[in-house]
Amino acid sequence: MSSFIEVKNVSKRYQIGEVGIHALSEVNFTIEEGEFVIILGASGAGKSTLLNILGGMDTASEGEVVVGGENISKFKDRQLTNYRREKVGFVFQFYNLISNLNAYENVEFAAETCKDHLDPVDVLLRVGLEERAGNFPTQLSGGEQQRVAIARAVAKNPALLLCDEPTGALDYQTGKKVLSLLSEINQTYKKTVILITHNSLIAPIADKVIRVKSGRIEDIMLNETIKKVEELEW
Amino acid sequence: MKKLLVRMLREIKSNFGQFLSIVMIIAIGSMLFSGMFAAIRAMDDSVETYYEDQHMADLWLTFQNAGPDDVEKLLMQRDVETAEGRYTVSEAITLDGQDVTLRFHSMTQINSSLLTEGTIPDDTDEVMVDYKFAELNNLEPGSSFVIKDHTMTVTGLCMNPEYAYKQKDSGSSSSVNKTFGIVYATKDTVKELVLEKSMTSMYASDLGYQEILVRTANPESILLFAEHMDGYIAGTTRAEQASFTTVGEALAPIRSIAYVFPFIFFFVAALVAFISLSKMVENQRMQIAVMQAIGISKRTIRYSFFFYSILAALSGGILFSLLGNLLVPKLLIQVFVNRFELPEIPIPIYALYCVVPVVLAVVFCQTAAWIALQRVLSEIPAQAMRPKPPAKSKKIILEKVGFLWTHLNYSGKLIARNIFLNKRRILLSAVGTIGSVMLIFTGVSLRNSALMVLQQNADTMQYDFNITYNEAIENKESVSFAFPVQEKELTKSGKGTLNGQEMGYQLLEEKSSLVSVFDEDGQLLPIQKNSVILPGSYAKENKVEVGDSIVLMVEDISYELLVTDISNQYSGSTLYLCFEEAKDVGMNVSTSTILVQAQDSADLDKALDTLSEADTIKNVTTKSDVVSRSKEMLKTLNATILLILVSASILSITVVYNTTSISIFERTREYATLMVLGFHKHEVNHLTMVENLVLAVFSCICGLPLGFGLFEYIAGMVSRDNLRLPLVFDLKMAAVTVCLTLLFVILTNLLLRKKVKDIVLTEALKSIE
Repeated sequence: MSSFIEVKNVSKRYQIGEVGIHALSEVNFTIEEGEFVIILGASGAGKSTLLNILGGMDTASEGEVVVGGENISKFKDRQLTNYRREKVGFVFQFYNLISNLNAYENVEFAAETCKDHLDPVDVLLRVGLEERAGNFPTQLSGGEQQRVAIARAVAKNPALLLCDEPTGALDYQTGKKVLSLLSEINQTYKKTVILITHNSLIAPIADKVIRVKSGRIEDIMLNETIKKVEELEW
Repeated sequence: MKKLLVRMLREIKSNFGQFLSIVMIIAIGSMLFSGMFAAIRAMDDSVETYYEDQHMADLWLTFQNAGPDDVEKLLMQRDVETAEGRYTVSEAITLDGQDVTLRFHSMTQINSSLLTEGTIPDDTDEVMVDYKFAELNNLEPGSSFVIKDHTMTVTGLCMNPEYAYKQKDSGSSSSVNKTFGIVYATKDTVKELVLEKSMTSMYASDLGYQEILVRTANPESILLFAEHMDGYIAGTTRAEQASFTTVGEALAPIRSIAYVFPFIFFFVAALVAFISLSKMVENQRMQIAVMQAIGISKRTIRYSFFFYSILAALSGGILFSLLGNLLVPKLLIQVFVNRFELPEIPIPIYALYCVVPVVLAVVFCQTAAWIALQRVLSEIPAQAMRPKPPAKSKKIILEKVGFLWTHLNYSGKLIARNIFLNKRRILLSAVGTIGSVMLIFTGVSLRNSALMVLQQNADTMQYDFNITYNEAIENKESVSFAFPVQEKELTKSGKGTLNGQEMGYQLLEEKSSLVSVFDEDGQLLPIQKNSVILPGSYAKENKVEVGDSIVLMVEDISYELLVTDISNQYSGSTLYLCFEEAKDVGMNVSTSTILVQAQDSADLDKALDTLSEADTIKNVTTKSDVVSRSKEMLKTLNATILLILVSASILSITVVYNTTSISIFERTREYATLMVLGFHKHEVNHLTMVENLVLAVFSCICGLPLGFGLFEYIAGMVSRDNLRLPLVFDLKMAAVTVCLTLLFVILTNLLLRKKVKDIVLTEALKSIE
């Protein structure tokens, strides 16, 4: 049986003027449905590029990316937008909430873009922000904003939740809360979560850890002993 | 410093559209400014020079028979520079089968002609002819025509300042180039013609001048003196001379527009440039903070931004104020010169008019950059380096209207909050659009007004022909025509004075259906037995009301009349009287003019032919003649209005482009987020489009009243005694303005689609700059 995500021989080159940059070369891996995957690597290793390609924000120069049986590397702009709309939820380092919509509206608004979405109230309750639903992003702390961002991603009921350094802008305690929220969502909603970070200390909470270095896969490791977020120290 | 300039150049390159739009705005402002001023100055100067070079007379005196001693007497007067007598005679001849009138003048130093082709006549029976008449009658140097038993040889073509605008007689306001020619010849030639024409046999030695031309600084007092001279018939000062006043009146409306409009236009342009520049600086806030953090002095940072603003001001200002100086006058002068017999108007480069807009542009741009920089530089670098805290989001008024709010979709909510929460930003963006709405509305309203003048002109005349016979008409029923006639009515036009003011009057038949007179509300005023209809302009000026009596002086006899109605006449001012009333007060009502409406309006040309062939008829004017003449009168004004409209439209597009592109730039991140969430690009574009349309509607609401105010102001300045532009807030024109503005918004948004398309998601969302 084929995996939920199959990345086959994916390369990404950027041509900036005369200079060609190899952001990814010949990357191969698979991810199963419901897995919590952490992509680990130093700055500039190519992990963000990988995530962007998986999320349909960028396209591979070569190779195939199959998600849920569909080869998204062949997708046109419009199909990619639909893919993002229906299949993917994003969580960014800097939240990227719509500043003129309040917490609830941010979630509801994203949910409404796709057909099979979850109840925004439920999701906000789940991330523990039912009290702050009427607040605007500027009236929320960083951690709260990130929780709204997660709620927004989850409410779309996507098959795939992509998180780009979600704890990067947060302090230790808040970061931990966000991580446990993500792992909880992974378990309760059975969502595939892919999280990228440069912090290897987070790695033990994942089912699978993919290490990226200089645009290549260094190794892929299945985690035998998954730690709870509370047990982490960094 | 050098590095900073390089950075600035790269900034310009990477955001060229924004730079270009600032340049464009300044360019249009400068172009119109230098162009309008140059145009009016070139026309004024050139006409003035022409008058001076040809020694245009200050006073025309007509005499029965003036001798050299009369000229001497005038020369003795104080303030008289020169005086000259000339022979003048009018001859009716047939040229190429057409009846034409030629007015012969003996050549003089005063009112000397400007030769356009050929040579000046110096022998008997040699003549030069005014060039427009020559052109239309295929005369050129070498050709000849016959008068009685003289064969006149044309040696040259010319123009003369006293006939820049040709009028056959002071009563008719027509310029008839094909049937009326001015001919200049030697004294002997003209004297011979005068002699032959004079009824009484007279010895050549006794024949004096018909006219004395005077150059003087004080024409009024010389005229008073001349009135007591023997054989004096009439005198006309330059200020009253038909050609001089007509040329002056054609220039006046352009002049009033040229002095007001460019300033307003430039002001709007400068305001928009100001706003765009300060936004541009604000968008570079973090960059500036980083530079400060590195340790670059505030002064150096300032200089690098001044480089941007000065570059924009200069590249827009210098080139386009020059271009404006060269091109705009061409357009206006063309229309102006075509109407008159005037020499080619040279268009010099007016340094002042080119420098002023450039200096203004530089000052405006500098100030804008300075103010914006002060705000950014006064922040602590550490603080400025962080993104600006977004505007405090809160509930907006609209949300209190629960019903409305719940029915608004998310795009709607986003747009509404965006507009309400960024009032300052939005208002600034709107300023430019409001300005261009104002200018466009002014333009279309002026045009509409001018058209209304034409329309009223045409509506007044229900007749097809105005026919003047050689002899008075005893009984109109006895006048017959070779074509079927629907209606015929007698009329009589004349000139008199009211309260010392010159006033044309026209007698009409009771219940006249061929001349329509309208009141202030555009309602038809029926002509009754006792009708005395005073033009509204006179009534207002002299505070005369219905029921008041006025005293009309005609040929030194005064007639007391009771005003029955006040009319509204946009062009000209004529006192309409009923024949009965005129007869009652003792006026001479004998007339040789009849108005005719043909039964078949399709066959007017044929009817006109039969009329032209009749030798009992002195003169025929058709309705279309009069209409086309008034059209011509408004041509210069129309050209000016067109110029305003075109520039306002360009300004409008540039302004919308500028504000939209800045707003897209400022919200790249938000748009990228929307796209990641699965918004299609067209949906994002739709968001900008709707926001801009809302803004445009708001701008229209503010701009239309302002535009009407400006229109009223300009129309007031343009209006004079014989042309008053109606001040009407025309809904159709408002609709045109709104449609144009919305069209520009849609067009610009289509142009800017690419900007949204070019947003690279991964770049836009990567990190906060």
